[in-house]
Amino acid sequence: MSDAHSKAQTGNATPADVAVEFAESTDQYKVKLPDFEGPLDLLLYLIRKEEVSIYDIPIARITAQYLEYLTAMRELDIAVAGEFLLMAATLIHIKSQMLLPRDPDTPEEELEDPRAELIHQLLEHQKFKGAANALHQRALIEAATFTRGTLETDEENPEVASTVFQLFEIFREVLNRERALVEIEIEREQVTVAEKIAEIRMAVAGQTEVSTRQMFERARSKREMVLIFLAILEMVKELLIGLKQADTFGDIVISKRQEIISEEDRSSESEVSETEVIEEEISEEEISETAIIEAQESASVDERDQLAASSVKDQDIIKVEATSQTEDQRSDS
Amino acid sequence: MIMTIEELKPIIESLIFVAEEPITVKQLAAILDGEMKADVEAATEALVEEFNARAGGLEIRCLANGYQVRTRPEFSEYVRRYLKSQPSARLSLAALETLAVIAYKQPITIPEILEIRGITSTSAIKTLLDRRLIVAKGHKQVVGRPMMYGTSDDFLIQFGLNDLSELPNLEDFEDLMTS
Repeated sequence: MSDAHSKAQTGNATPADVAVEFAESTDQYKVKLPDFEGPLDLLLYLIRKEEVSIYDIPIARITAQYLEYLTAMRELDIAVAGEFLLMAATLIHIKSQMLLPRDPDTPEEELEDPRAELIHQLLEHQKFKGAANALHQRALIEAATFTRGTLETDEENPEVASTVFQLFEIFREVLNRERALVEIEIEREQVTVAEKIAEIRMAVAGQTEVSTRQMFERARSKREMVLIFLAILEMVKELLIGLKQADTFGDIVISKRQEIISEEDRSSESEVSETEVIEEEISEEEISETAIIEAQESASVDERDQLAASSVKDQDIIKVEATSQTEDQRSDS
Repeated sequence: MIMTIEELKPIIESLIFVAEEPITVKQLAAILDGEMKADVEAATEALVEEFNARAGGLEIRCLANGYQVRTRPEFSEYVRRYLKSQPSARLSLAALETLAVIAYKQPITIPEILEIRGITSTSAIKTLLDRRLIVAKGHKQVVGRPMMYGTSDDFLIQFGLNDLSELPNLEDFEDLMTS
């Protein structure tokens, strides 16, 4: 509310701000907006401010105040949540019910106070607010207590048993593996997305479920992993497979969606998807280039020149292959 | 070998000290497997009484149905200096109220929480789940099979409770505003 006040002082106020300022100064309401978590909070506040009994709420007065408050919120450009509007409607509804004359024939016991449910809600809400506060106090005290830190046990250090030499062996293995991987990436791989799709299709036809984690682990290069990912996405789009994840951050599992259509049927109806596959193959050259660049960075200067020369050649070949395939496609259709 | 209570007490004391989570009588009895569970329980209670009567910086607490050694809150300032730790982030009002509703009404579904609080805050639920203060406790067998939530053991530990019966009485908060 200080915003309205300061705005008024600097002369940048709108009529709405002035209205709020006036209301503040006549002490109609002092509102701390952030504290109102919901309409029940606001109602409890109004009831307390008006010093009325929660068991006998003067509906007309409280409803009027509530609506005034909503108007002020809107004027100050605060988005009014749906729950507040719902409560406004509820209050008006209760008010109208109280205004209607009672049916004189209804026996005394069956007369319901239209406010009853609201009162019940307010009481419950109040109880839980109180409980929440009490819990908060407890938590504060508990947070001031501490336990002894973690002890080192064998369970946490399974590797402690190995010697320095074993450690060195493992390190050497990792180094060799890295070197071997780099050498493989220098050759251009022939794997395509279409091949990966076929692979996945076969795998899913064979078992009920295929683990994506295993597939990625078996991939021989980053490029292959990307192709597997693209293949999975394509197959999900085509509704060939479904993906399931049993636990949060757990493994994602591929399962068959519909009967895997045979090759002949697929080629007759899938001109569209084949073109997409071709487009993916063309983008593969960019992926393989990245792989080559990575290999380059770890190779020596001489090797780098050789690689540069050969990659240029590769790209020309790839471009030729791609264009020839597209031309074939066009001639087929 | 059957031990006397006097012999059992120091052993139990060592076990409680070493345990990371509150240790239950059941777990203690399992380790002291020659002894009767009733003896272990009696020895533990005697130990706790003596230990806490010492009025030292430590006390043995009953939390989440187990026993745990913790520092007394009065000395937290000094302990924090040593640990160089700050008081941890507090829960928001929304999260606390949601937690209170779940604690008293568990197991409870999200629509039921909405009915009581008058407002849903899914972010509060997420925070509570992230802090492992609440856990999913199965599905309610009605249309839609919504998930039910309840409090966890971590909740009991963080709020200093041995079990749910130690929650403050809801009715005590009823008459905050009768005028």
